[in-house]
Amino acid sequence: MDDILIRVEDLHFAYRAGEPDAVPALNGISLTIRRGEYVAIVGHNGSGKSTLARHFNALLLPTRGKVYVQDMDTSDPRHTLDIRRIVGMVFQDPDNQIVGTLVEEDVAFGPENLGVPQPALAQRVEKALQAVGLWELRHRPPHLLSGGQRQRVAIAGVLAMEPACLVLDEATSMLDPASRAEVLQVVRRLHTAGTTIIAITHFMEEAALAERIIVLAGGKIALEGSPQEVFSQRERLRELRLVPPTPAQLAEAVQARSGVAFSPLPLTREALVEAVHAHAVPLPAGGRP
Amino acid sequence: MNGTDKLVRRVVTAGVLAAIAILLGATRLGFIPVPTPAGNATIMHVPAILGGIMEGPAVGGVIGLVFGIFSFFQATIPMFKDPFVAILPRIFIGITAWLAYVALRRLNEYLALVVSAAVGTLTNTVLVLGMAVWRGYMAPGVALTVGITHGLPEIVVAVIIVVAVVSAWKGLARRRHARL
Amino acid sequence: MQDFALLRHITIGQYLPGDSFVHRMDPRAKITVVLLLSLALTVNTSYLANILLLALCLGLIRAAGISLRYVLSGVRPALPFIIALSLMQLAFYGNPSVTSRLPVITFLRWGPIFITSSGLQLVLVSLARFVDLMILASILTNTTPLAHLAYGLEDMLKPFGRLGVPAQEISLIFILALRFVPILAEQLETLAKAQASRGADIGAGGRWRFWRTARAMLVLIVPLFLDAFRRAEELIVAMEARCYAGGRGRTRLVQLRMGWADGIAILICALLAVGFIWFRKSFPF
Ligand SMILES: Nc1ncnc2c1ncn2[C@@H]1O[C@H](COP(=O)(O)OP(=O)(O)OP(=O)(O)O)[C@@H](O)[C@H]1O
Ligand SMILES: [Mg+2]
Repeated sequence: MDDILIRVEDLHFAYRAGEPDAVPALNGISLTIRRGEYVAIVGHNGSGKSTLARHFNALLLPTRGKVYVQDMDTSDPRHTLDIRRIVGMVFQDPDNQIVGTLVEEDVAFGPENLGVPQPALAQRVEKALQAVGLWELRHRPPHLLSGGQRQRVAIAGVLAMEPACLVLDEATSMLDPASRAEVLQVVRRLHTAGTTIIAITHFMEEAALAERIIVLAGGKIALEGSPQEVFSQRERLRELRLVPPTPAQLAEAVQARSGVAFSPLPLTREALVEAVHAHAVPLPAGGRP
Repeated sequence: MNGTDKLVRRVVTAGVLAAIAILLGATRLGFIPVPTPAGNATIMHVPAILGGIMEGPAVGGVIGLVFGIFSFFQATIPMFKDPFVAILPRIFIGITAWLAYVALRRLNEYLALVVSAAVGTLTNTVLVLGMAVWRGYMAPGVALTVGITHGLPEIVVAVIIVVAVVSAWKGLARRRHARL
Repeated sequence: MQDFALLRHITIGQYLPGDSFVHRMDPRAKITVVLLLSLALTVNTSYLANILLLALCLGLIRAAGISLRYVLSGVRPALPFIIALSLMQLAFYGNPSVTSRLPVITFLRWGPIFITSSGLQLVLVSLARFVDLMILASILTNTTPLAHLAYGLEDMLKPFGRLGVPAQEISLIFILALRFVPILAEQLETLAKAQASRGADIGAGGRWRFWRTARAMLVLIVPLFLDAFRRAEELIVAMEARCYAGGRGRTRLVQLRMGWADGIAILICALLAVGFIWFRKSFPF
């Protein structure tokens, strides 16, 4: 099966494993990520999302079980750098992942580490910066950019390694709404162009953009499925302390009041507007959808 | 994996601590007013001491080097516009601090921190003033006076900061299990 | 408080873009030239040698298109201090080792105070050297982006790699330091504001209220260190994720290029430096 990019088999992980103060963080996770997929991982604080993500590119190694990236075992040190090149990772705070004093020098950091020679190096930098729309700002120092721009620099830094997969660990959580939209647009474009996306997020609106959602709780997979499937399970979500996206909540409130059943459940604003239109839900005079 | 792990940690720790040293030099924060004729006690050498204690002599030495180079470039008085006074002595701050720390760590962690901060500070004071005398910027008697009025308060302040920072960080690390 | 308000825009080693010959020189050539001239400065104490060197430095800064006034602008606030130090140097250093064929004249000898013509020479030479070094430092930091200086240093140290000098790592440390100064400055600003809102009075006090001022500063500095360590932990993970595993096998986007002119500049300065060092004792005054 070579359209499987990442395969996780019965993954267990504990911080300080073997020591008396070991902290179990993952307790038997099995999953596969297909090439080109867009997967969201959600779950409340401490559920193990970041720990799982760090297994995808050998930043952490399983205490028990296996993680394979393109059939390479992450615990084999010979594959570490290859795996990190294939699975790129973007973190929460752009300030703590940008290395260069100028945008273009930072973007070059990854390929420099891989030993990419000139002129291929410069080409990669240009391509990556074009992809996130920051080519014009390549000579700026990063600290004079906005938060959203800085996070796009971080993404470009990963893209310059030409990864097959991009893992975003709460990459939008420190951004204001406008910057978040900027970053999400870049992510969606990359996905359309064929990059596999794994997005960890606390924003359910963001998770709804994915093709598949994995819900973690207590280091295990609690729920998995398409956004439709996941967000329709209201009871289960409540147990997991997750709140569906606002449009879904609105739709359910409308359903409860008017008796019309929306199917599929609208998860975005656009979908909600559409659904309301399609069902011609009677609206108060003068009101607009 | 472990080898490069350590290397990355050293490079990053050195870079971040050197940034603090530069920042302390560029703001008034690097000088703490003291009730002696010296007026100010500098704490710009503290990052080098911390680097030596936490990551060893190479890291401590490089932080001192970066700090020295920046204090040379920023100097506006003749004495510190001389690389022998501004740069060379700083390299040794983190190294002697590390030596003192490893020598006493077995005995008692706090004692080791206190002595290491004092030794690192003394290295700075003695070598800088020694160089100043050797290079003819200061008469030996003047240097001795400056050494005592600056050196003592600087030791006190450095000890406080080093002990506070290291114990807070180790405490945090234990609580958050931050060290992988 | 307002001390910290503009920290985010802190500038270290202000690069002044330009297109002069000095600007276009390879950073390695600039570093070499500055080192050679500093060496010549360091060993010469005669009036004549220092006049010549000062003229040379003034010529260089001219060629770089930077005004001497700009170079020395930072000195003004330190002027009283410089004068005081020079007077002390003059008063207590009667017997320095300066090379001079002039006869030594004793102006005053009274208790510890000992003023001679060679003491005066030392003071004047120190001041000239100071101006020279201000100029040389400015040639490095005002005409070259700091990162390029780091790359220049890296390339110059590379041959010593066999002796265990981690050139690439040292240069990365410089770059990281430059990168983190504005970030930590911003953090410091945030911390200072938080403390101020809790009533801590940073900056006020003065030295007679030592403990109050010292405490106010400590409550800023200790959290600043802890924040830096926290960022370091995140940066370590991020750099590993970007395949950093030390300097071996790395390539670099920024490539430095030595030209003819660089070679000639180095050659001239090397000859000058050798001359000044060799004949340091032969200047007539
Ligand atoms: N470095 C560490 N050392 C020890 N325990 C850790 C470490 N990092 C995380 N943990 C613990 O492992 C568990 C999972 O943490 P993880 O960071 O993966 O959660 P998360 O889902 O990413 O949470 P968040 O939403 O807060 O980012 C938590 O109980 C956490 O306390
Ligand atoms: Mg997390």
